[in-house]
Amino acid sequence: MRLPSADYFADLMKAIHAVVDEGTFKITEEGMRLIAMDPAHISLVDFELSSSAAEEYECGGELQMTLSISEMMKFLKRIKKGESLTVIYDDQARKLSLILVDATGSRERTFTLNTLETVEARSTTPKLSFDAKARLNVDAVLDAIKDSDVVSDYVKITINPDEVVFLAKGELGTIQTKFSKMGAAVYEIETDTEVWAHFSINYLEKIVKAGSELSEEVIMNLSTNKPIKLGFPIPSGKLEYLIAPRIEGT
Amino acid sequence: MTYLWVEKYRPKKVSEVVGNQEAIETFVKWMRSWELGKPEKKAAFLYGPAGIGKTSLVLAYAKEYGYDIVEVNASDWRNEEKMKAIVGESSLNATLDGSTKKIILVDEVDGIAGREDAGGIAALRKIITTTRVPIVLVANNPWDQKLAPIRDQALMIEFKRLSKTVVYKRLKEICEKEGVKIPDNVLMKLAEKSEGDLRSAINDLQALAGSRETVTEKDVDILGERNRVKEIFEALRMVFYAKSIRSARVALEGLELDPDTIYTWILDNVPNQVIDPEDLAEVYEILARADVFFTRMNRYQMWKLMKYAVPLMTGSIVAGRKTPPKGFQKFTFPPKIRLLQQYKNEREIRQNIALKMASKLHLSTYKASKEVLPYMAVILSHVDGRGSKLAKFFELTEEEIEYLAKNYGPAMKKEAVVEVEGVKKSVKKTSKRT
Repeated sequence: MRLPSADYFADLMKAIHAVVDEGTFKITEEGMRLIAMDPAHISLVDFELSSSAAEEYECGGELQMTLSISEMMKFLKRIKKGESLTVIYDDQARKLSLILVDATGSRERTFTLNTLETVEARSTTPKLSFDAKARLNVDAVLDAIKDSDVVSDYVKITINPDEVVFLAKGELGTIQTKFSKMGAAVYEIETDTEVWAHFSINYLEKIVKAGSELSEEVIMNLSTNKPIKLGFPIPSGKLEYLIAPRIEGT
Repeated sequence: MTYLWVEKYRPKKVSEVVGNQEAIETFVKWMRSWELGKPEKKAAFLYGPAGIGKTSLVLAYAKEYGYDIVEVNASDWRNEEKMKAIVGESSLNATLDGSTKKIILVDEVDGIAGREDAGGIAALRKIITTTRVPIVLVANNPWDQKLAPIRDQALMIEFKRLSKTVVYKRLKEICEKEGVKIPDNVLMKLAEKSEGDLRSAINDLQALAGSRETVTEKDVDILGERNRVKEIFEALRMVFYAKSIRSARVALEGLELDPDTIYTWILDNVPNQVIDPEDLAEVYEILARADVFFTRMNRYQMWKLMKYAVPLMTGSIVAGRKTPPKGFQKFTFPPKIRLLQQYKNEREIRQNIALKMASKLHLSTYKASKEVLPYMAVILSHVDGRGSKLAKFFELTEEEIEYLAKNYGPAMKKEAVVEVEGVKKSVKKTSKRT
């Protein structure tokens, strides 16, 4: 698989790394896919990169590749701006090669990474239905989450027909961010009722931050006290997350 | 793919968990109190010896009633930060289906206590006070002083060793399902040997059933010490299926076997596990290097070489194998160890004879055993009365004479047997007199 931008690939991996340290990619002629849950079973990433994202894509049949994303991140940190990337996986030797070529084609670097014992990939995501949907500017959302972090570990996200609200309450005080439907940060709100749920800021921040590197908007799907789905539109691919809600205390 | 029977026959329903009825009832009642919303204690602490169904019960309950299990092994992460990140977060959040049906299973809690505990226990205690889902702690030994803070936060449920009949019944069931015919007396012996540890009994059963056509009681003896076999099989699995040299090395932790024995186990299993000839050569190469270290370590008593020998040994497979293993391959019991165990007694006798001869003849025991002992056996088998004199001279016991006679028996004539009997008698008399 050859990609025009190595940076882009690094950002994609970073986005997966927000949830898991290691994961199994399912590679087919159509592209690569990964569905994985974090060890605490709170968040899930659903990632797909279609073969059309690549300038060149070749796959000799369906296979699975398990690798340590955290180890790969170490390699990807060495990427320089403007480099193109070719990813080659040798299933026999279980080695993944990353070949980086700079813009002028004067330097070629090859990083080879050993992959892990293959673990059967997860192939389905939980079936959920959502009552509300909102499309927002991702940086505005990230800001709202970072603000909430000042007072609490949790943030209540509310979507109603007129606005999206982030509310965090802590011993220190309360922080609330409102995005009105009329405002520039909100692209779309689709709901008849008001829905809300609480989420761990830890998880939200990691995920939204990773998503903000790749997409300018975030699509939030929510039902009251149900998991939230965060989608980040990426070209010829899919990047979606689920985060479980906090259990409301009695 | 061959599964471990332990996994294959793990109970899928609470009613399938054998033994410990009282403990099971207590646990189920506690889970019910969670479902009703008001548990008295937010955590349950299941404790008792290994292999009797503590973890199995939790998994079976989760499976039967549709709970998501967040399983964490305490020995993997013992610091406060990780404890908070995984158990802490998980204890306050619902599942990804949006339900609250979740059990957090913290296995090997005593594992955190034993090692450097960087705030893990304290963090766990805090988490228990705030959790919104049931937390189940599992340990063999809950009485470690360091675990005191979480003991009084949790409902203590004791699991006892399973009775012989319970283990026997379960083994019998498995045999029937697997279609293997093993005589009842053998199963009974296995059950006895397991000392109430069903998991190891099933492991032993699988090892026996896979190794030969007909199984006799004697084979059970060959399995050796129950614990060791169980542990060595688990350790081997870790060594052969490890992802990194480091994780392969961890396999030996807590294993009470000397490295020499483990070396034999690994060496003998390599050809079955590593199929590719090039890989095999590479693995052997590394093992050979480990062997060099072991030998030098023993010869020069340089124990510090251990730290090179052991990682080479355990890491040999990870480092040498390029092609991944295809499915699970059974491990075999090394013939060398089996033979050594079988002839342990005889080796001891031989050694004793050699010692006696060595001191009388001013020889090394090695020389005595190699050069004098065979002649002694021959002399004994000839009828001229010299044998008994020599036997007296060397102060051999009846047992030792018996050994010598037996081992050179095939060539012995009938009269010689009588002669040996005579020698034995005369030895007896002398020993009585003295």
